[in-house]
Amino acid sequence: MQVPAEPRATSHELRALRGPGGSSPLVARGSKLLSWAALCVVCLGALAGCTSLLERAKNPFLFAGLYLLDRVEDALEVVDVGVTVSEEPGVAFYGSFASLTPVGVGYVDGHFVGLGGGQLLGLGTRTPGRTRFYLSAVGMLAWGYEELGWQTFDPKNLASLHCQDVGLPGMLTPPHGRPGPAPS
Amino acid sequence: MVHVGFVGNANYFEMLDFALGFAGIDLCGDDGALLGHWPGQSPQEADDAAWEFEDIRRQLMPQAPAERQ
Repeated sequence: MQVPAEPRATSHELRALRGPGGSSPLVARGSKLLSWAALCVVCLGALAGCTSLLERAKNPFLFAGLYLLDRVEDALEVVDVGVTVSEEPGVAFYGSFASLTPVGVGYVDGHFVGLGGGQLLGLGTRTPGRTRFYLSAVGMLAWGYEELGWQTFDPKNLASLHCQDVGLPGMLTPPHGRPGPAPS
Repeated sequence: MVHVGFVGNANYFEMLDFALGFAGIDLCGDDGALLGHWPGQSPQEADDAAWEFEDIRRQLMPQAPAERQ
């Protein structure tokens, strides 16, 4: 026995069912995804900590300027590429992949010429063309320790440096350093 | 005499901080500051936490003893 096929709704009828402001299922799914993404960003922001712009900016123009300045500084902190120059002899043969395989030793207390530490060629610092740089590191593959200083620091003051354990055990167990230079 | 060395480094966590920064999220806590701090940690607490590395430094670099300020 042949069952008669149900009549298919025409596009005009579907449009009428959605109403004047109705959208297609694809658009509805997209907007739902966007809503979830926005919610995730808000939750992540609440967990991670929001920018301090609202505290620093006193007017909307300053807010916009500081927002852009923060983005530029964040971009400049992504990579460190340059040359170190020091009058005192230093020793540095140190490398690490994603802070997981630290190998070697390094001690440099001098100046850095290039892009790194949130600055480019020392622009905007007290020493245009270069910036103060300090690295003291030791790596034994499974574990390593790094001290890193940019621009304004005192090698004797640990609070003014990036101090961090590296290598997988070092990164997972306390003490933990400041966020930023690891993994790198 | 001038001594020269080369530095090449990519900070993966800073990449995430840069990307999320556009949404107003400061993952590294370094917006407007030279040194960052973890979420839920104040800058003062981050400074204090840095001194937890004092013992490691003493063992590795006895010639440069840390001075708490």
